[in-house]
Amino acid sequence: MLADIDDNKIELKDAKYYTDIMDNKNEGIYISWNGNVITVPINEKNSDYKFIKSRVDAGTLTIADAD
Amino acid sequence: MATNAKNLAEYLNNETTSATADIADGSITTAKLANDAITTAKISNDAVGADQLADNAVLTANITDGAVSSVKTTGVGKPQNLIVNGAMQVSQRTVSETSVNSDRYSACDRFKILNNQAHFTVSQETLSASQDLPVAHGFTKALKLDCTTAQASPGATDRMKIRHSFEGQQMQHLKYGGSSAETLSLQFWVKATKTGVNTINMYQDDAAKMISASYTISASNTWEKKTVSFAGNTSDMITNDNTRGLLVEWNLGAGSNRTSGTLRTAWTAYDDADEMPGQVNHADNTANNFHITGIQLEVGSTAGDFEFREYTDVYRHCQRYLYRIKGSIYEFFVNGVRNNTNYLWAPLQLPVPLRTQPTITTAGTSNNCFGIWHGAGGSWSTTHTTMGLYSNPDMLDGSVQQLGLALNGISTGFGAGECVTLAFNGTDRFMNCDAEL
Repeated sequence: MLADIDDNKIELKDAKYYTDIMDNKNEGIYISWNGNVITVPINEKNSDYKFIKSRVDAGTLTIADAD
Repeated sequence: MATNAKNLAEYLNNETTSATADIADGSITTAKLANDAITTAKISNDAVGADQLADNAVLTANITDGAVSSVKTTGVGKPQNLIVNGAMQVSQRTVSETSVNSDRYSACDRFKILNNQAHFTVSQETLSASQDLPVAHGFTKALKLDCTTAQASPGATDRMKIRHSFEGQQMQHLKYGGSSAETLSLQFWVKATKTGVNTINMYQDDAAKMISASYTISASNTWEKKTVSFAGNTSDMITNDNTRGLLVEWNLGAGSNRTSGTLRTAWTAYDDADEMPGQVNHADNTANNFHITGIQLEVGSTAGDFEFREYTDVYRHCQRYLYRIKGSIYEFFVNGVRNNTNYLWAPLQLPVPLRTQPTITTAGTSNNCFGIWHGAGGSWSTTHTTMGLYSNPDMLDGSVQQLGLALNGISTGFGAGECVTLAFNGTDRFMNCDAEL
């Protein structure tokens, strides 16, 4: 795979799921991306979610449960 | 008589006609022919070739209706440019960003900077008619990378590139995966401080294959037009969906892991070593700049004229990948309603469908970015905690036509079911809905 995920200068931290209002399922992720808190949907076609997932799969990022 | 001219003796001998053989070469000039003397019936089939037609000899008025059939118009009027924003007209995120040293979309929509090597200022440059040759060809903007912290000896895994990605569903006409796979031509204007060999890669995600080309920047800080071509991939189809099917990258420098191989001239399995053999390092000096514009990727082995598209057309196309709302304090952009808990719901209709569910980035924290007008008296509240996306229905193709915004932890001063208006809370606030590839 071409290098989408080898940039070690992207700092991801403080990842936390948020849940759907109605059914309480995980809907998206709040995460600090190079210092900016962004909202990322749980969607394999979203490139940011894919990047976050790659860090999780590599064991370098953990996503906390929703409040 | 042995010659091709009659003599007086022959005419006196009662030979009254002249055969073709009797007329000397070049003896009948145009002035000897009356107007309309040569009718179509006197011209044998295929007697008039391209060499017999002077430049501009055939006027539109000389072409009868229906005379030009479709087979004579191959390549005429084709939708040419596969690149979105190739003239660098649209720059929603910023017109200039300093100290870029990580992967991101910055100035000039659709062009991603991949950089873990040095620091650059990335900007949408306004070209000057007196100094920039592309202006004479219709280009007024360029993507500029200005090296501000050099890295003359990049680490082995370092790389610096400019990338443009394509949805697979938009590339099906390339007919990849079959014998009719189309060759692509890539043209662009480039100016750089650093001269020498540069490389370009195309990569097909579904096959994990790449193909490359190289070009040479001959003169420092001088605009040059370059054209390269890429053979079609006859082995691997591009998945027909809204995920990334192809990408093209202009390489600007890398460490040894990406420069030690050989240039690929055919589609073969990706290997990072073959990305940038011989690539000059545009990041080795803070005096270095790299400018690019007029990018066109098109079907065919030769590059045609640049397809200039109307600004709004390009802008709308860019909005498929980034919808950005920008405003200042009290400027409202969407209405919503408070539910019976601490949520405010606001369905946001998009001007064009986003490629997929977007990432939301705001200026600062949610309550720093947004405020809420509510109540009959027009009260202003910034008492909320977070914003999320909820219930964003996909279209059949996976794109998203509207977003469900929700602010959590809003003030208890709101009534359940109360209608509210969401507005910005400060100067130069924004919300990016990013669905880039």
